[in-house]
Amino acid sequence: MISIAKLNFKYARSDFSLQIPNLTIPATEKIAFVGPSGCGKTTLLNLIAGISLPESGSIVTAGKEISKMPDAARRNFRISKIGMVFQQFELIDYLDLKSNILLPFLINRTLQSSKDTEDWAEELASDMGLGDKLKRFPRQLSQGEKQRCAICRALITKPELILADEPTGNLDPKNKFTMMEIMIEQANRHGQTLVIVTHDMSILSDMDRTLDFEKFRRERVAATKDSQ
Amino acid sequence: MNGAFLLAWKYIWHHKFKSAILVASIVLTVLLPVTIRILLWQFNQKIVTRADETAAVVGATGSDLDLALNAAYFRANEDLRPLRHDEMSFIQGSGLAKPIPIHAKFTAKSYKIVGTSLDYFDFRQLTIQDGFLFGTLGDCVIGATVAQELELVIGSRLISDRKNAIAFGGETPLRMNVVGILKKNNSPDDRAVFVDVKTAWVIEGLGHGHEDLSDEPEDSIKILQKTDKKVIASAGVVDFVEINDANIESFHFHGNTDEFPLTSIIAISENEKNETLLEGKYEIGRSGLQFTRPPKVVRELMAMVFQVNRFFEANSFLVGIATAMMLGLVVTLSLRLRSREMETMFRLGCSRNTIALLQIWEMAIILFFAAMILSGLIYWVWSISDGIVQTLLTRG
Repeated sequence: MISIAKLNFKYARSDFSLQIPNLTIPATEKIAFVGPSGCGKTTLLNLIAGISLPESGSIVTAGKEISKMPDAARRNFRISKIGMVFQQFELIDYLDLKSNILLPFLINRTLQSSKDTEDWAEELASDMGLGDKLKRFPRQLSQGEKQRCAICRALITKPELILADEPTGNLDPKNKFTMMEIMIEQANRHGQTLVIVTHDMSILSDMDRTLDFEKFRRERVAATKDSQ
Repeated sequence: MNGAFLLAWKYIWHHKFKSAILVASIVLTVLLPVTIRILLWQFNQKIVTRADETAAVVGATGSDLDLALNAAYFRANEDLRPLRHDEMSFIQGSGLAKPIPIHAKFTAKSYKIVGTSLDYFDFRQLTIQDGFLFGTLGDCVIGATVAQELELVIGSRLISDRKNAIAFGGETPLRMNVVGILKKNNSPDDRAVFVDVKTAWVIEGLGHGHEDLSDEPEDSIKILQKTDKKVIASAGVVDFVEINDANIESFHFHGNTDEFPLTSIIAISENEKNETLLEGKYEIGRSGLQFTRPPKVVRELMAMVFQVNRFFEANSFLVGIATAMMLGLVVTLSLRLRSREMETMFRLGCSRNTIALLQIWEMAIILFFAAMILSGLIYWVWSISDGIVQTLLTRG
């Protein structure tokens, strides 16, 4: 579950600010935040992941008050409990597909890789139709294959929460629906909460809830002012 | 295995060409000055040691250095003028030193032919590995390197090189008999062919052997003029190119051997006083001749060489700084190019320290490979430096 209360965030070198009086996302819910560019969707994901920190308020992610954790604990928490999927895939060009999937285990010592982990990586790749491409490098993969690899990387630590930032933004129409199906299916299979931000309304039919983020912000802030 | 190390290794392996260029630039920047230093050190060691073993040399007036290098390394500069063989008698007669003749003008398969006496082998403490020292005209004793590189054994033949394509000076190639091979002693003697000084004169064309001309009709066409005192033969008379038991009696010298040339004489005095007295005799009364102390000459030369080397080392230092700055630039640009990769790792949950560690490992691996290759190359340079220096010193 994700619970946000009295959140107040402002970028140091920008006028942009984000206030969210309260927002709750139940465990295993599949929720999409939609809205135009610049409305704060990605900022919200960064706050939930503990990449950015609020000026005030609280963010409870997977049962932990992530904004109050020390840096190292927050990083360790993020890499083990949160899987992240990016619009540009962000695969490492010098790692083959299997190493890309196993990347979290290479960059943080709190995660210990074992034979089971490797088997799990191969199983995930196989589920995503990448079983025969484990030795390939990102430049040898199609856009769809790259994003499937990125989803495998997000799932490798068996996280409680998947945060996906415009996950279909670089895919053709056929691939983007396939990708959404895969993500929802994987989240259902592993009982994970799925949070997606996107401005593409066409991919949201299978989500549990869709929030127009700009409208949501305006309403919540106005309601808060009224109550005061 | 450490994750940061594994990632660094995978990065370097994936960018093999770029990494190889980095390694090569480090290796070349360090190798060049180190090689010069090794060669210079070896050069200094060899030349000073050899010069110290050749305390005094007598020769015709001219360059001290040329004379010292002739006696020590058998180098025969074109400017090196000869001195007469009877100077040996003067030195011997003075009672101040024991003279050893050196006649080093000719080569055989590019190795120096050194005409000398048997005293030379005692003086240099050279020992025979196989065979025996030269005893008759045409015999030669070869250094260990000559034997090894030319694959010569006792009984082999070795022909002297022509100095010019057309031998106007009268020198003729002589086929010498290898009668002895010296034990290797890591000195210029390993790369020399030793003969009796008379054999060197035969090569120079001052002595020769040819078929006898009889009064038989078939020989009459080879005689251009015949008087009671001399016979002038035509070009039809065959000169022997090899000295053997059958023709050795026919070998003879034209002229007075006292006047025959040497390139230098090594003067071995029993003590410093005798050496100084002998030097005095040459300073006062031996016109056209000089007395040289190779240790002094060589040390003066090396002082100059080291002075020049200081400029080279300063240059190498600046090149090193330039290379380090370029490497720094490459790393900085690489970091900028990889900023998204670093950011992705950070967003996934990697600490900034681990990202820095990854960079450090990459540089450490590059430096490790550079150090390994450098060690191998330096070892190789070291192992061949002795041969290079000996060749440089004896060639010419």
